[in-house]
Amino acid sequence: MGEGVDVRVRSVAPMVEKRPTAKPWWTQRRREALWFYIMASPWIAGFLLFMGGPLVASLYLSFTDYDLLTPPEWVGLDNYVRMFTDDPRFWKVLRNTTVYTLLVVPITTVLSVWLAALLHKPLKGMRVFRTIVYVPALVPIVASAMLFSWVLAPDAGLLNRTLALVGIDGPAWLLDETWVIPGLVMMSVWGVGTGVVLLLAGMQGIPPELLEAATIDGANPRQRFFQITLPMLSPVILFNVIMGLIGTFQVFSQVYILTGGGPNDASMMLVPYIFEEAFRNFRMGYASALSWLLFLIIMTCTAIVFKTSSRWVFYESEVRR
Amino acid sequence: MSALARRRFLGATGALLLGGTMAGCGGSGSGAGGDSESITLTMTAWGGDIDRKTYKQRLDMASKKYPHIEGTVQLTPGDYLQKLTTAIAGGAGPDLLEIADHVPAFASKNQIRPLDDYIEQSGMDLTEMFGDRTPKIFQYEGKQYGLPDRSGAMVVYYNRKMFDAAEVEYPSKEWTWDDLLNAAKKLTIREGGEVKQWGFATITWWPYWMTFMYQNGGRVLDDDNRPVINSPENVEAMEWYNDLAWKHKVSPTLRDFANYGEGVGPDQLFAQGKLAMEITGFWNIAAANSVDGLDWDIAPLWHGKEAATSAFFTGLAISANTKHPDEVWKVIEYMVSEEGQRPIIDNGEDAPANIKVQESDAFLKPVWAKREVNMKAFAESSDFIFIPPITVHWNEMLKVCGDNIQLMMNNEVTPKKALDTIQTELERIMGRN
Repeated sequence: MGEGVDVRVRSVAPMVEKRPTAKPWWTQRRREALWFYIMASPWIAGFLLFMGGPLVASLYLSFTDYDLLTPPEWVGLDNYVRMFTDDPRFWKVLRNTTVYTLLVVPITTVLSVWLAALLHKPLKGMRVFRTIVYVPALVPIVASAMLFSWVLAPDAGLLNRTLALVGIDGPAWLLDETWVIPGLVMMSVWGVGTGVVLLLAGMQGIPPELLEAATIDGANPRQRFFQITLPMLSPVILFNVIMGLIGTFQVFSQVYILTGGGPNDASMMLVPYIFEEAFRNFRMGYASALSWLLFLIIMTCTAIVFKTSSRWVFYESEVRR
Repeated sequence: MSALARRRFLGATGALLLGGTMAGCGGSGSGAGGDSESITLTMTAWGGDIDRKTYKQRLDMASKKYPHIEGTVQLTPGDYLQKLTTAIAGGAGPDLLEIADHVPAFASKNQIRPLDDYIEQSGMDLTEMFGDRTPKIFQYEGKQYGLPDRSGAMVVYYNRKMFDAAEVEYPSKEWTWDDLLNAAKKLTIREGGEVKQWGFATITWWPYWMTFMYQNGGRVLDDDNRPVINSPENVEAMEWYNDLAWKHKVSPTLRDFANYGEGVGPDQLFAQGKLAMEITGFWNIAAANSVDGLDWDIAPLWHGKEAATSAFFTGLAISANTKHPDEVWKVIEYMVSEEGQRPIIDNGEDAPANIKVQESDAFLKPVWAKREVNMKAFAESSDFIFIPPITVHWNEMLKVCGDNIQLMMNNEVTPKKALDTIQTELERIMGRN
């Protein structure tokens, strides 16, 4: 019988030196991560193949002289220099695109907020009106271009005939250098429905208690709109403005179909110009440089809008300091 | 998961995806049979269903003659140049191409082969087969790069009923500009301030106004390809041309055309019975033919100081990148022979470039014509086709001309100012790449 043997001591194993159980490599987290990448891989593959690759290629091509038929020839910054110093059409095109965008985006924004406010009222048959406002956005661009060429016809068109009723002699719109861009703006504004739908959804998300409380406190409808509804809608408006900027700078189909850039380049925009330089004039390198310039312009405008957005956009979940 | 392990995992996935996509896009070759026994040739062309059908038919006929060659047609209904250049850039270019005003551009960039050796070996006499003007259209720097295939001169279509009603003699190639104007005046009918019938139509499309320039003895480019577009002859021609719409009011202005709606031009007005005379090409025969009750015919164009008309010509060329140039030559040699050109007229596709076929009965009295049409007008006109000033800068040139001629035809600038502007612009464009 062990006298003096301390069984207790012997049974306590020295914990410090024992090795911990090995953690399995294949954890739940790893499994979830793998599934994420598997699910995302079609998009990743698509992006690399159709956007990433071509983007890099286009950047390279912008430093070359490339006519699509013979191999590209490195010319360094020549294309960019040419853009600003040796191409009279470029300035006109840039001016046209900027004017067009600066007209379309503000007009569309204000109009869509106004329409959304109107369509938000709980009146009978509002669904019909909402459909009417949204349907033009569903019409294919080619169809609406053909339609607008009729509407904007100098003498027989709907617009000028209506103006004639109030005694105004309308211009020749698409044939007139001064009025062709306003004509295109009108066609663009016709498709305002998409923005309206988003704003309507935003409006429905405003808690009615806020507006009720304001009414009880004595706010009139105008105050309610400008002090409550509009700030609550501001994130959606920000989205519309940014998407609108990005899209409008890249206008192509309307110009290509309706005016071909005419008359005399008065309605030529950047993307149709890029197309023409690349595929008609055998200057793919120059067109690539123009594309990257357009990218920079859009990025700059978007960055400006984002930076200034903190002044006027109100996020409900934000903690106000 | 530790940061290092995650990075390795991402890297592996990324490599896998990249590898997958490379494998996916690397595999598509040109698909041409490597078999020494049978060869498949790809041909690119533009147009509609009738063009696809006719080219396929002719390629099949060539296959009967050369059983080891088979041809397929890739038809582009829209922008041919864009599709073709992109295909060539991607390494998937054709063996045989339909070609028109692209010859200088493609030849200068070594995309099509010179055919002179083949022509000499085969003993083909291009002048005898196609006349002395048409083959020149497909030459560049003295070498022949294409064989003429379809070549329809622009002729005048006229509405016989309207002429009979106004008691005006039918147009002929003896007509002068004054005859044209007098007839157009008599044939323009206004009722209550609205024009029911126009005598003639003028538009900004280059075959129209360029024809008048050439007919007045002027040119666009001189023999060294330098612009001479603001010469006095051209200014005079453009003043006369513009006066038709604005001074004599025998033609719709561009504004009037816009009022008719999108896509309405002289062809459509003629078919609607609102226009007495128009200049257009072979393609309109099918359209005019299909309108019931339209009593129409065609005649060669009038002349000014000189006789001139433009033509819509297409040709066949051998790609410089093809692996089977000899076989392609055999096919195109066949396609421009009398036998190979027959489907063009049997299907009513176009006017054939081969003169013998143009003069044959099969063309003069086509099977599909519902009425007597003076098809001889095409052969007669081929004597005075002018060779258009095509260069590498053709597209840019057309844009500059079109823009300024449009201003002129909207009466916003005088013809002299428009041509001076075009001259300056062309000098700038042609002076550099």
